Amino acid sequence: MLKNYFKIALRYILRQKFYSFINIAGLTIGMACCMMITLWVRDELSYDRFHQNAEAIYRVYHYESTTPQSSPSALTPPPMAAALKKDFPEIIKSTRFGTWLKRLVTYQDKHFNETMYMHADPDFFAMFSFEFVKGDPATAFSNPYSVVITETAAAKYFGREDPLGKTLTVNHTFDVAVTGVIQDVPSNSSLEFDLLSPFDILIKEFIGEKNRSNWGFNSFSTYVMLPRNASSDNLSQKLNGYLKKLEPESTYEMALQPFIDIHLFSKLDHDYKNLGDIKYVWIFSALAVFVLLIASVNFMNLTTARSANRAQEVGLRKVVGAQRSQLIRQFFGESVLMALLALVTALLLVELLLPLFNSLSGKHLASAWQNNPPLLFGFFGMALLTGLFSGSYPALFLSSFQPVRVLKGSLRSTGANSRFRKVLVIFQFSLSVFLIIGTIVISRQLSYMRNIDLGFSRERIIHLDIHGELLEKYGAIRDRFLQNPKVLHVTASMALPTNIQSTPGTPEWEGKAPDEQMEIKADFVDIDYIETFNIPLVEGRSFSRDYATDPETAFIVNEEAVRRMRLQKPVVGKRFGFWNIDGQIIGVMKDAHFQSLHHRIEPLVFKMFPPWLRRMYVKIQSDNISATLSSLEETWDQMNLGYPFEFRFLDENFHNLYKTEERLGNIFRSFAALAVFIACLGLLGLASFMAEQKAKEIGIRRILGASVFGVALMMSKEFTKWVLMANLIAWPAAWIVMSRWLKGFAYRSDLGAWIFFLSAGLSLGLALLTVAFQSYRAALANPAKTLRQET
Amino acid sequence: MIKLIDITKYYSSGFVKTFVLRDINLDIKEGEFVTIMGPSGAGKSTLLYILGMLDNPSSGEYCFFDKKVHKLHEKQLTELHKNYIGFVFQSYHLIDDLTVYENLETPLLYKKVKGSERKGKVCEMLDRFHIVAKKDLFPNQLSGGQQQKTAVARALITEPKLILADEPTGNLNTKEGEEIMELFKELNEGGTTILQVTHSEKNASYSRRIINLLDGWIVDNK
Repeated sequence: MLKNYFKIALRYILRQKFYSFINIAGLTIGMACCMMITLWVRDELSYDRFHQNAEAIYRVYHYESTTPQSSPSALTPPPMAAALKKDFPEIIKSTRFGTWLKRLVTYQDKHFNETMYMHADPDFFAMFSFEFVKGDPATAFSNPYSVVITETAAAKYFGREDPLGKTLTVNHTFDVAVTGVIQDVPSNSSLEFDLLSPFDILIKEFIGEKNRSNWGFNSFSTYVMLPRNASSDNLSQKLNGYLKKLEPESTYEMALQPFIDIHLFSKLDHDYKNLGDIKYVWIFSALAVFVLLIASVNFMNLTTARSANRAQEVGLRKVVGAQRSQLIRQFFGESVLMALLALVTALLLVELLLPLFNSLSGKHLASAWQNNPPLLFGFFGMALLTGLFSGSYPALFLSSFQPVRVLKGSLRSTGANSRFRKVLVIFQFSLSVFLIIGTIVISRQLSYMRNIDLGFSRERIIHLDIHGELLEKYGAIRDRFLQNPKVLHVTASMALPTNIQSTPGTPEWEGKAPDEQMEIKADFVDIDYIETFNIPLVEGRSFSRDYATDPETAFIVNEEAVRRMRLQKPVVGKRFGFWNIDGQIIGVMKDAHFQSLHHRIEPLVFKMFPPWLRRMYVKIQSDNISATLSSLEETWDQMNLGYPFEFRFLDENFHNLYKTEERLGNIFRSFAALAVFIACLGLLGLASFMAEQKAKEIGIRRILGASVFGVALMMSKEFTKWVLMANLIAWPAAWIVMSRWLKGFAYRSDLGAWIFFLSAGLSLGLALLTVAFQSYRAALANPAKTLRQET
Repeated sequence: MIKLIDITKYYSSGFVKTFVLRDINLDIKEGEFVTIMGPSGAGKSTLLYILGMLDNPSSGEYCFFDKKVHKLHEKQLTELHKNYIGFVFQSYHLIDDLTVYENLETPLLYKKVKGSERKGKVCEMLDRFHIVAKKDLFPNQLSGGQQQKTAVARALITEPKLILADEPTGNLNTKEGEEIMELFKELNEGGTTILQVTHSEKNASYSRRIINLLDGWIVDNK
């Protein structure tokens, strides 16, 4: 029996090549989208779970407990990890993790600027599972001046030589011995590093011994490990008030965050760069379901529309003894067969498209089906379910034909069944319109963020890192660069102007109430900073060589700071300071975006502080930029600084702030386009079918004098109504969902009515385009031919 | 074998009832060869479908081998007409996607006949109707007469007690039509009850009893 069904199903598919193609194509695209998104979601959910102790590890973070606006920070001070381990017996292991500046690492003639050279404590390897290829994790950090490197780093420095025991030189200042080689850090790890050294070196060589016990130096991550299956609630309770005990005036509290929750749920300041968001996992899963749904609905629609062809067969089978249940099983068999065929092509399609998807999403997803039976099994199940779902309505509908109705005359579509088909098409198009609107809104917000006036100029400015010895030579480099006629300004600062995050705690100012708190962000800059970036001043002046006290006591604040401090005009001259520096405000700058657009503009202060400058900026003229850059590189090399001339353009950095959103926007756009394509595919099938059905009617109308255009118009009218209805349904849903998404941005584009009208126009245009060809062809058919075939 | 008592069939749309059959009373014994004749729209096909249990009367009783058909539900009806009745249609109604062999096999599959037994029965039919050479061809590759022969073979393969034929020679030429009617005559002589609906006097002459329908009434019953 099964063989019989299979044979018929296959032959039927082959006979109706056009419609089978549309059906299978739609299902293929739907399944392929589903599969790729499944891979993406799996990857996101898998972050950090490869560590054996993952469930027992927590990150410690702190937050300001009094001001409601203060956001919690993932950065903690150096002494915290050891102190917690000592004071709380529940904590069986702890480690710090972090770094301080890029540094230059050399081995013989090879030198590289390493940005992913991190530091941690000996407990690190016991807590986190990184496979050691060479060396012993238990002893790798016995000597402070050691380093553990990844296989890629090993190949980079040592080629095929055995790295163990060899020495790397850092910043031409100190040496570290290679005590271990680990497998490359997997892509689904929140902790990223190429080289890892004990935290001790960070203190000794970079931030200084004086900061070893500095509880105010919040620049690193702290991780603690509890015993397996222990709850963290107890410990969280005990942490309350801990910081107050050390410093009675502190208003900061600590809290624990489960390590495996960080990637998708963490909303702290100063967090990892490769964070994801659980929101997007949901959105994309929904997207995958949408696309598959649209494809299935297509299938249902097309199959039932063409039911007249199968009617005879159904009636006959009932006559020779088939029961309804047997017929249902037969039709399910057909739909499942098509779904399985679609599965095979979908697997091939995914193989082809995965590299493209990877570049869109910034991941390294691999299909590797052979290594992953559960995944394959899951996809098979998805195809099965799709086949059963898509085939459900057609099976029930087709099997219900009564032989009497079917064998005596031609089967007319009953009112109920064509109404249901209408509902299906409208449903499909509603989804498509929803996705179109979503795409428009997301694209607008992305372009808004890209083009917004930040309030300061960032074009034609390159920046270089000045660390270690370079800092001492900064003055000399600046002077030499300024001699170049194409250079307009040279200045420096601690943080990038696109991401000023540091805060010195609550400052003091004239008229401040004793208990008052204010979170203010700060950056330390060189003279000429304001001029280089064209930051407008609303009051006062910028830092100047004419005033000898400027480097010590001058502060420039922004308008928001003035507002929060409730200072009255004139603001210039009023007292201001932090960290026991007593100074005054010399100027007020206009509010500008020195952070990503997710954040509101916050109070900001600039001060001069040469020891903490980390980057220098060179603003160059617009003509012949490459020539200018070459001559700057020459100047650099002539100075024999020992560091390579590595620079970046500032607007690059800015784009990177929104890399996540851009990526997500791209993925969303692509899938939305696919979904719309599938819906149109379905419409194409339906239109062809309607043309077939109405061939006789059209023939008659033409004979009676209707024009070709008129007939085509008449056919398109029906579809137009459906599409408009779909729009009306999609608009409220889209409005609700999109306005919620936009609320996540402190600065956003608007959700204008024109977006909705545009989507209506687009969807209508697409639909008409799809049916236009079919309608025209039907209208052009020779009436003599169509009227002759009288069934 | 067949007893119809006051069978009536109408279609209602709103308040209007359109009567197709009125007060049909009929008695048919096993082994008879009956023709139902009448002009178009007289209700012949409807009567045939009711007899074949493919349609239900609006009122009246239908006894088939003393079973009250009007009281059975769908599953039981299917069982009945699967085992006792064979249908032959004017437009053959073969399944286009199956070969002749597979078309013949289909009723046996629904009766859950085992493989080897199925093969035997199909081969027997192919032989009897002289269509062995066509067994792997599709219906659209056969002539009208061959298709109808296949259809008759299919109707017979389950060894039914009753054959219902709706204009069996309507789409055939004279020679092919004769062939089919000779076949029916043979079957009837072998004991199968045959009921046919036809316009052709010639076809009617093969039977031994003619029932005339006009506007839903029986007007003649010899």
